[in-house]
Amino acid sequence: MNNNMINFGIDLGTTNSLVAKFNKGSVEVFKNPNGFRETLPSFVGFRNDRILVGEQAKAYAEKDPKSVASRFKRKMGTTEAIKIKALGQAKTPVELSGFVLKELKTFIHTGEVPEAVVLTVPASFDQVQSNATKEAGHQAGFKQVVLLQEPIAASLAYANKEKNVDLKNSQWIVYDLGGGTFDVALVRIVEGELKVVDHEGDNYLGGSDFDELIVEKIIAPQLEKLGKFNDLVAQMKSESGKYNRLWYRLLHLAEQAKIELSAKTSADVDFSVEDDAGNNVDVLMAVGRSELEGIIKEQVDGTAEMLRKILTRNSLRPQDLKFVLMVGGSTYIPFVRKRIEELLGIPVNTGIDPTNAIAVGAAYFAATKEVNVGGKATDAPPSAGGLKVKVSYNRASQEKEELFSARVDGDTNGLFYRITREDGGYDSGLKKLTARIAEDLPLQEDAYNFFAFKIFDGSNNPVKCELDSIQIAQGKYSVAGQMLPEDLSLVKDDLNTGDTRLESLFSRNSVLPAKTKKAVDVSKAVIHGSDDEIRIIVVEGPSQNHFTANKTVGHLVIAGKKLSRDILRGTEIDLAFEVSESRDLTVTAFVNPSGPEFQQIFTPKLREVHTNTLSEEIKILEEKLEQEKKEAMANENYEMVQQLEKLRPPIEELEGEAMLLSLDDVTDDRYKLDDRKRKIAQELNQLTSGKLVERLRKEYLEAKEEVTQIVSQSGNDHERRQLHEVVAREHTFLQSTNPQKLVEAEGQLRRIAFQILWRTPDFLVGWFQHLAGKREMFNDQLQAKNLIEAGKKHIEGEDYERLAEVNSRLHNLLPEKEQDSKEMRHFTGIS
Amino acid sequence: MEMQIQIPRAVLTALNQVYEIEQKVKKHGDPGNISRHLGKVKDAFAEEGLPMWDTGGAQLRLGLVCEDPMGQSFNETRTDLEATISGTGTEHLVVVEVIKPIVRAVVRDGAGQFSRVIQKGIVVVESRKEQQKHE
Repeated sequence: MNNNMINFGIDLGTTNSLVAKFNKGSVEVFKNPNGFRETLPSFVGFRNDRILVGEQAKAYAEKDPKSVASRFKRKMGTTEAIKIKALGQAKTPVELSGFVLKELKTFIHTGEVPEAVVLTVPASFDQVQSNATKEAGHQAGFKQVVLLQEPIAASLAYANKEKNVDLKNSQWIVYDLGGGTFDVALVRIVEGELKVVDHEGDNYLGGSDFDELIVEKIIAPQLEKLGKFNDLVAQMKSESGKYNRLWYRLLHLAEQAKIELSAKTSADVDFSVEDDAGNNVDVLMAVGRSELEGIIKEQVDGTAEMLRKILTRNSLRPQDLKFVLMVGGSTYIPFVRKRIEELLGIPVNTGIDPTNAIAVGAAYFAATKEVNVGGKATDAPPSAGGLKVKVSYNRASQEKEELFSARVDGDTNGLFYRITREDGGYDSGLKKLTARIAEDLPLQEDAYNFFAFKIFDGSNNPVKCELDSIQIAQGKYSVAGQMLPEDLSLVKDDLNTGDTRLESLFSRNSVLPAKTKKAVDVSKAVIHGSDDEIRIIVVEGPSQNHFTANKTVGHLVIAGKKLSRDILRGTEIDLAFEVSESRDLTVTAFVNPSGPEFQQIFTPKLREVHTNTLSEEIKILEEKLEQEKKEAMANENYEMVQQLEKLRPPIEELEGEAMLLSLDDVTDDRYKLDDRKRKIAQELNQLTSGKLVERLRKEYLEAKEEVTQIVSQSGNDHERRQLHEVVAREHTFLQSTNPQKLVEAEGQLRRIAFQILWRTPDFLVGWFQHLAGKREMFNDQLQAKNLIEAGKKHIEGEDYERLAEVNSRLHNLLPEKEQDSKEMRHFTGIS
Repeated sequence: MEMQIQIPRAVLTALNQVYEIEQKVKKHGDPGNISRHLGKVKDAFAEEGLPMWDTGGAQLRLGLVCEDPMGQSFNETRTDLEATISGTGTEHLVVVEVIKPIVRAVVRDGAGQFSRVIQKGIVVVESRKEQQKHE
């Protein structure tokens, strides 16, 4: 049934406009696609052959009034036209309102193009003004325009929200104090119909006046006390004044403070400024709610006076009125509500959202009015016959702006185009479509920039055209830059395997320059003055390799000797890596908190090989070889054993030579050794890497089976989702040759299982028995004994929650070595 | 891509405060290396970001990136700034005061990433000529 109704309601306001739609019993207020507000400032600007509506036009309104029109609603129905310098002609208030209405159409994200609409008008509008508003609606392309008085719209919004309230035979006041205008109206139900009986208003009173008062009366006097200022207020308010910038900054701060004061009794205003003497004045002042009330009292009392006039004119006593319905943003101010109630003795009604109530009410009204244009809202945009657009622009760019040009074949008469950037940072505004168009499109750096290109007819209805998207890649996506030939990775200790692993910093083919940051944990303590050190090692080569197989390109050492204090285990180190276009690598390490900074630049020509690291690396290589051999033997893979055996002599040889190197060796021997080491490591890697991934894959699949069972038996929804998430991206790591991803996935699964097990009685009892068996190892025997006794009792009493506590306390009593069951190797000291 | 991104107000407030602190540190010096920690907070928002789910239930990461528009040029086509023009000129405008920075959401999914302006920068702009006059 909705389909035959108008459903769309528009609040065409003096300062702000909104559009809303009734749908299945409720009303949606549409948001500005450029931004997040429901409101569109009722400003129309003409700059550089563009038509701008809303926020962008508002910015220029005060300073370029010859090209930007505002407050034209108050001139509706007059013969006055507003001269627009940029156009060299005048626009009537009707035409200008038409632009606002057209712009509001773009808010409707449902794709509908309404042909009928309800527009609201102030209670003060006479027939001529109302007809002019209707005409604006027609100019915006609405075939049917139904008018509704604003106080009625607000009342409808209220009546639809509070369905239980009986308004029959009653009358009330709608008090509308917005950003720049004030209206008050007496509404009564006459013969079952809502009617505005009387009204008053002030076209130049609203919230923005309050902001100015806050700056002038509260902030400026205090500021004058804190610094030397000559004629501060005048210097702020004058366009050419010394403190004109400050004026606008303070207006924003005042507005924020005002909003805050609606919820709190005090708000801070915080800014700094240079005074006449050149001194920096830091200001942090509290504005109290009572101060605000003091300065706006006069204005608020003035509105009460107008309200009282209505009562007198209509011979009404306050008790004859049901309530005062508050509408407009400024009625959020508690003082406004309180003061009106106080002065008039009529209860204040704040039951509706003051900002959008009129649009919402209009939509409710629209839901009761049938569409009468011989058709209903259409979904599909009309297509303009044979319009062809041929475009030309650079698809990839290093510039901040790119020129977009197009040739349009076909009849462009009466059509407009508009280009917007998808992230919401650019809007060309409406421009006349001509046979040739050109536009400078600003680009977001280092990103794919998507622009929407749309053509509209004179009513701002979209017109079909083949081109709808413009794509330009800026910066890093361009192939013009120099690329990284190999992965660069950071070497970290792997606490699980006791070996090292590589963490990728930059992947192959990254375009240079590039930078990245990593935070790592220190896995062993470094005592200041000692020989301990932390090694930040960056290697070049496939990131799934063992690091010994890759080339070391950067090696930054944080030595105990250079420290002024200890670095504790678990301390975070912030690492920053930067690769320049000429492939210089800069590694910077910050030891937190607030610790020292280490930085070193590595150039590709200057290779860093440290003699003592080299020996250690060779040793690791040897151990790895041994281990692999053992495993191959156990698996009876004698061919593998044989191949591995071939690697042994070169390693031993290398080891011997490295030992002979002195620590401060200045020859290039160590580079040669390093190269040989790498070759052996690569061979070892090739022999064994496939095997490792295969094993990990198997382990993962086993873990999955196990964990799935545990989860289905005792898991909760959260755990089921966690499991699902891991399994859902299985394809990304099962096919990968990167062992690290498999290890991580398995770890995630195990953690889920552990979470669950930690709740199950069998596991807790088993864990307790295991711990109790280590009785003689505990650090504090007495405490351990007590805990074990307590644990036994909890088992008897089936109090598993307490048992879990006992377990964790017992665990903490174990010596550290026992807690970490695996012996750890710290090669880099970071993990 | 049509997408509604909702950011908790507290997160935006926190980011705006980080920006404020940064400005103060710039002005008053930084003997205690506060900027490093601020950098970490900003990185955490930008890199780790907030979890988000698309309509199919797949998890995306939503990074929040703060951009300081100070000194950038402004014209009527910029919709990532809410500007007030100070002084008399309206041509060649540049940002001279930043009351709130621009905040962008960078959404990363399997296909890549895209960004949206989440908070418009609130700024005061001035004609370049005027600015030179002041300096």
